[in-house]
Amino acid sequence: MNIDDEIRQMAAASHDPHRTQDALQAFLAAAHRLEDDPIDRQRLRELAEDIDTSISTYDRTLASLDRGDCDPLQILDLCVEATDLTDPDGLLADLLKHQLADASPVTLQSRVAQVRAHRAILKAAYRNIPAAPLPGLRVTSADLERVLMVAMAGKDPYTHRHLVRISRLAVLLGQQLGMTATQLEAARLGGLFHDIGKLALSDAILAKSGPLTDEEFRAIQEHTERGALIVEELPEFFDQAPGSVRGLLAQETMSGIRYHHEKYNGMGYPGGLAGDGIPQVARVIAVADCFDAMTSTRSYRAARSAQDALREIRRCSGTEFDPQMVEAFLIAYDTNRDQIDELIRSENAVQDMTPPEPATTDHHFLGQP
Amino acid sequence: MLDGVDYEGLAAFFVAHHRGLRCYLIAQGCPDSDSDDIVQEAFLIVRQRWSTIVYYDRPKAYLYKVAIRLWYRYAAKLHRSGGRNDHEGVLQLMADPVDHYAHADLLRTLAAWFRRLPPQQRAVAGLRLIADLSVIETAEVLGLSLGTVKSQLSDARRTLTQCRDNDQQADDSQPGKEPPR
Repeated sequence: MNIDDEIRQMAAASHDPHRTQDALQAFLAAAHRLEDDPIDRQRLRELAEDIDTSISTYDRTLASLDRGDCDPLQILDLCVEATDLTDPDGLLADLLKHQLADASPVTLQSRVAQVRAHRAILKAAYRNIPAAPLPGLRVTSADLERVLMVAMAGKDPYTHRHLVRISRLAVLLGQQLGMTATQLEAARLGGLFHDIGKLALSDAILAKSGPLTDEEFRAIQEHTERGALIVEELPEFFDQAPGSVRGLLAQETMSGIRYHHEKYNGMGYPGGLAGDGIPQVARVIAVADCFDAMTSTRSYRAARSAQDALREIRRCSGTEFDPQMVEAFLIAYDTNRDQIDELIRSENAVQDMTPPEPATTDHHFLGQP
Repeated sequence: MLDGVDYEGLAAFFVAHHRGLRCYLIAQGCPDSDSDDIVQEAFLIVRQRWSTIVYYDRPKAYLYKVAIRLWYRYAAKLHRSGGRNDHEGVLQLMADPVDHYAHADLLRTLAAWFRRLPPQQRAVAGLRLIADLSVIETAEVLGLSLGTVKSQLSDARRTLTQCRDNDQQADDSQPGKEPPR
């Protein structure tokens, strides 16, 4: 018998069922007493509020640290006090073990953002995946897509909508290129999650409107690697693909996420790959990503027209973008013009209806590598 | 239904989770004699929030979140009144479980095995193996990442297996026992 089953069996057998019945009677009696005893009722109400506060303190502390609006050590002290934690291996372990006192503000913010990313994914999974799927039913890749999208929508609604559009643009471009079904699915997933690493990017950096320091820019560049790691941590993602293509689909999707900021002339990141050395899915996403960034309204600039954006993409053919991708995208735009224009219109309609958003960093317009 | 609380549903919830929660707390180092008080207090707080959590949350996960915090407070109070500065102190102060039924031996063994685990592994293994929470629920309740839960559980399994094997060997080598064939 494996240890899991043995522990479960011991736990089940270690209990006297009469004890539960006795405890139930005692609990019901205590509950009914509360109804007649205002002092005890007040005590319990305060205890319940105290417990709820301590449950939410951790998340609130992380949010404050992430926004960079408080002194980290001071707030951690407060958090430890508020939650009555005496055990450093407890709730704050993920943070404390990284020696906050010696960390630079950007390092600390990045660390906090990573912890928050994990928690955002977890919370989305907690709300969106049934606690006990029916026997024989497994968590599906559609469940996991929804979880990551919910987590991203909570972090940054603009990026969430951007991911959905890139996914569609990448598929249209892939179809124009005559990609196989597996490659198209990798383009769809790669497009959908190419910026998912921004979940692990500090709000203080993501929303910064002024120029970025070198350290902050390096933190932004890490979103490609972090995105691939987030998807890699969820191997169930590719479980439903046929066995013969599962490995290929996972590899191509991950390449799309990891290398979508590479440039055709080798001046991109993270690897400085050039030409055909850049995986095809990443070259597809790069063009779609740039087109969407240019045609979206941001708080610090108006959207450019589709024709303007296409001219810019054509101008960067052979330097920033693979010329073959550029040609295919121009044709795909002509062929699917109504659909693509509708994507642009829907984003700009959302922008018109929402209050000015924080200037989420958009590296296509920063002239950064 | 009294005070806006559906007591039938609450009683069924109590019966379904009382055993697991009590066993979880004892495995975390809570003295058996105090576990009933913490369990009752946790269920009373759940009763306070019942109408909300029954529709919008996972009541079982909320119950464990509450119970863990009550247990932390209890352990901290014990420390302030002269106990040691960690849960190990509480474990060492713990009287042997006194139970007039045969079930006590198993519970004592379980508590002894879990005592060998570091606190985070103990909490993770308790929620996964005793409380039977999913990986997602365990991570949410303890505020850990999915990766941390998986790695802590894997380390805990190794230690627990070792404990079981040691006990087995000790049993087998007792005089009067036939060696395994």
